[in-house]
Amino acid sequence: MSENYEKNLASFFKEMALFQEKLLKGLQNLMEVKDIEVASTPKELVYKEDKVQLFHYKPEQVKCPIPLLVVYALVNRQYMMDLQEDRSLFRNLLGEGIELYVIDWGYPTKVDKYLTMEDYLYGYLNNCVDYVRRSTKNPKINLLGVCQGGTFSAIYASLFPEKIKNLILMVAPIDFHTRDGLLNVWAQAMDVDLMVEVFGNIPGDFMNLGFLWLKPFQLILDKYVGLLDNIDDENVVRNFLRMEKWIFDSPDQAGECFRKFVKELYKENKLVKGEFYLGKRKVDLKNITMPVLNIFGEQDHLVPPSCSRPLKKYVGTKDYTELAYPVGHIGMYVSSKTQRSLAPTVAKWLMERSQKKKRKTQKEKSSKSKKAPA
Amino acid sequence: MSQEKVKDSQAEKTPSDLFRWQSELFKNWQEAWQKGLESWQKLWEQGEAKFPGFDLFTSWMDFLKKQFDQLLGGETEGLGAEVFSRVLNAGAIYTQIMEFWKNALASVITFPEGKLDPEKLKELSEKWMEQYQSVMESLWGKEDETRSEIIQSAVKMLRAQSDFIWGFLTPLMKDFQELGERFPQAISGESKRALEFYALLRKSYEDSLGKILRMPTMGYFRELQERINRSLDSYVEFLTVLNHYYSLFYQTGLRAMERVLNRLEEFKDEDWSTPQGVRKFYRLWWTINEDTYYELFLSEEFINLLREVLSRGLLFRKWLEELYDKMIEPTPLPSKKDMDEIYQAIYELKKEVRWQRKALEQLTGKNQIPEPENE
Repeated sequence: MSENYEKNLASFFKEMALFQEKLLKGLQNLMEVKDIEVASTPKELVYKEDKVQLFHYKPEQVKCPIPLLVVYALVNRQYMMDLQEDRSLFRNLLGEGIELYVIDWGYPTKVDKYLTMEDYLYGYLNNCVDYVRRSTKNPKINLLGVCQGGTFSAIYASLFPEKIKNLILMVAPIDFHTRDGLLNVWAQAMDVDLMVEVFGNIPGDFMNLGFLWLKPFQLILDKYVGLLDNIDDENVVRNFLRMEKWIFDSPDQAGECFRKFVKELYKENKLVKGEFYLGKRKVDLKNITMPVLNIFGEQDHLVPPSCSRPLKKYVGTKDYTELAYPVGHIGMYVSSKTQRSLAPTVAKWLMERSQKKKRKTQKEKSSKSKKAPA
Repeated sequence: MSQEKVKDSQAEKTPSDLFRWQSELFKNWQEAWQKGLESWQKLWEQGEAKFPGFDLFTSWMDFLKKQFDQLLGGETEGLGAEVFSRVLNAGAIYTQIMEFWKNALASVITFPEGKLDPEKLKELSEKWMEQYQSVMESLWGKEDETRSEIIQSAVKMLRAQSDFIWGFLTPLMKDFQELGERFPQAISGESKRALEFYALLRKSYEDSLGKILRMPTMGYFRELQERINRSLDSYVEFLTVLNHYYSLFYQTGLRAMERVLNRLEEFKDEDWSTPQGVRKFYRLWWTINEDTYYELFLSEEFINLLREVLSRGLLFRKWLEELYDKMIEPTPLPSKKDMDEIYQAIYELKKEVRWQRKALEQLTGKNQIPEPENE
């Protein structure tokens, strides 16, 4: 038995020595990092209004004649789609010859607490759409909405179908009354009027806390324990840091806009009931007659498929395509599974539908659903 | 803290400070190894196996955390340092959790023929429940920043008001004994007991302090007094429901613990002599917990409590801010209400300017947008 113990002891000390070496190297890696570069794809600021900025990303060779405007959520930041060189949907789309415009909503401060959803959609988003239409001389442009930005894009396309050539939604909540996602369930418990009255703008940290509690053991504990295994690997650490930076880079939410979003969509589910008004105009999803590509993650815990997929029932288009990936909400942008196929699939779908002159003889594509290519 | 900062802060230190730091390092190192090696020595003498490696691993992690905490000087500036601090905290929670389960596993293994005895298990689980509470506290935290801030503000107010209210606390004090007796049941995992406990706590408050705080006040300071009372009242309401809310977390933790216990037998033949050996068990532990808490988060009971906690917390903050506004009224400082008026005016002005600019552009034909094609 003692021989066994000696062996165990020796192996243990070896293990500990390796672990310590790893940890010290990890510490060295981490201490050298003051901040970390994200959103490395070159871009140009082309339009600015208050805190909102519109960036232009130019491909080396334009293959699609209609540019694509990307509308991200107000929650977190759009550089999730351009986290690093080898994990960048933007870079991949540019590689496919798609010209991109991306909205950066900025960081609302107290003075922005009265901004409404009407201001965001009739104001900022509409102005960005018009800017792209004007500067590229296209009466219609392609629109890609992500998460909450997807809901915004669907609403916008319903109100201004004459400006949108093709609509792509990614992990976008449409039918909010599902019990598959904790956010949908918890939203019912929120006294959003009181929240806006007291907070003014809803703090990003408060929102983050809610997101962490959706999977507390994985996100507060196991994620960091897992990092210890690879803390000496500079690349792993830097990738981890990029994600970490993004997760905790949470702008506050303009109070009035948040109130309408939670109250009328999450709680009352007015969009799919056909009872949602933006200003004085009723939003009818049946007005979405342009081609629609609806992309969702099968393991998405923030916007579960049952929240995104019902879109098909409510839109007026006959050209509706669904694309499911076996990933979660964030995995849609960073997983190797999607890195390989998401951009080429989106680009192909867009190019097939982005001819400036529509052929009169072309039959409208029938509604279909498909699995993501492996 | 960046390396530069570490260097800077060390440069400011005197030689004796630096020497002290080195001594601390050596002391911690010595303690860590001593603690770990003692368990090995014990084994050597007794020839009995009870996860020796883990003791050493735990003390080693403890040592590292102490050292890095000292090195960082409690400051976390920069993404790298922040993340490292999060990693260390997760490491500390990890070791605390595993320390707890190590003992639990050791107890199970010493059962006759390694079989689980339900009676003994019950005895043990009761004992562990007490210890497990501190494990859960390390994970969920006793106080977060907001809560701490709220508590601090309330404590200040409470102090100022303590002379006034002390005489009225007697009915509450009378219930204290019963509350004390009911408390262990309330946190034991039985939801009904917890509800009864918090109902009694609330009743005691309503019979005593609550009555006073809601009583109409008179005199020159009536308005201020009413606001103070309302803030205090809402604070107690918030705290009551918050405690109930947290008790639900503890109950769920204990439920998860029972589920882990039911799976312990699967691990009795595992090799626990290396940190890697405990990984498999750790994975089981956190996934069972994640699933158990997910069930909680979906339950009506939790959703109702979440609603209550949020509303009570927000109301407390609302009354507190109104109190602050009242207190600064005689000063030249702007109140929240004043600032809101300014924000609203700016918002409306900006909107007006935007609209005017757009109208002007349309009139002048500037920034013409191509007409949609006739498709």
